[in-house]
Amino acid sequence: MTTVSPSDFHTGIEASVLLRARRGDGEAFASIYQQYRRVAFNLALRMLGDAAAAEDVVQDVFVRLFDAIRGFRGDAPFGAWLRRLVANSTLDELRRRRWLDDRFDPADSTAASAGPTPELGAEVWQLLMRLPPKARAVVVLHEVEGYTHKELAEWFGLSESYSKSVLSRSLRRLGGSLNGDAEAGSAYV
Amino acid sequence: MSDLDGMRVDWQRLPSFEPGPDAWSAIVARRRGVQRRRVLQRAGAGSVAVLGLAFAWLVGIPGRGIAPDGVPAAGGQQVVRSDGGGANERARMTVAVRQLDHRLQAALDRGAPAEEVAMLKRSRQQYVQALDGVGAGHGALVSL
Repeated sequence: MTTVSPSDFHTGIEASVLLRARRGDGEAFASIYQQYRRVAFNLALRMLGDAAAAEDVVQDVFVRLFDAIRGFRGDAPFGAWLRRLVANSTLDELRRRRWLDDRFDPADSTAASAGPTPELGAEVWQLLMRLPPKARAVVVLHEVEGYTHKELAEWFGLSESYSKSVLSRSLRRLGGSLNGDAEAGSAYV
Repeated sequence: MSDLDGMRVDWQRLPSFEPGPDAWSAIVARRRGVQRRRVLQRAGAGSVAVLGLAFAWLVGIPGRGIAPDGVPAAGGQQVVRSDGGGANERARMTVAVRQLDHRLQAALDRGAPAEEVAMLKRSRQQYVQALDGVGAGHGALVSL
């Protein structure tokens, strides 16, 4: 079942759970997984457009979390730290598939076709899946997750202006393709 | 919120999906696989280290054939050698024999009482017999 909800990595984690997880307590990890599994999966899925690949990325992140959690210093909230792990891993997967290459042709990928079919928010989902992978990653990280263009520029190894131009060019192109599209409907406000 | 040619899209209204129900058990299984590989790697590294040390002792790298006074072994002295089998036990025995050799040589050099020399010889003989029991060749490093 699908629901429409904004990304929520902001919910806190109990200090005792974090402490137990750092000591390697399996139940504490299970608790962390239960709390963040959905937001982690949706972040990866929105960027990849492929449910199986998103599951794989999330599993990989949580497997690595067993060790990585000892390196969590608590400078940022745990959710924000975990979100960065998921975003980084998803970008790595996009790079591995060469979906971030400028010459990438979206028609070559299985993205969007391998994604689930939502019951709610279908129009917004379809708009996102119409974007090429790099633009989709920028939209998700900037528009949904709230990362700045400066942060995106560091992630992508590009200039801040390039990140902005990827976003504006992609949205302009998407808007152009929507003109005359009878499917417009409730996605727009 | 994005503006698409005059139309505004609220990306916060993206649908949210549930991951597969078996995801946690897959994570636990993958984690166990990682731990298993680490244990095997550590065991492998430990075995290599033990074998390396045993080999080093068997070929006598630390002070091989060198008497306590720093003079290289020669003449009637023999060097402990091994065919490499039963490495751990033989290595331990060989180390003991070698230490007794050094103590015996030192005792002889300083003209120690006959009782002390005899006691060291008996101890050495016991280790030599034990070493014979695990099938390794050996020899005295002491010019007797």
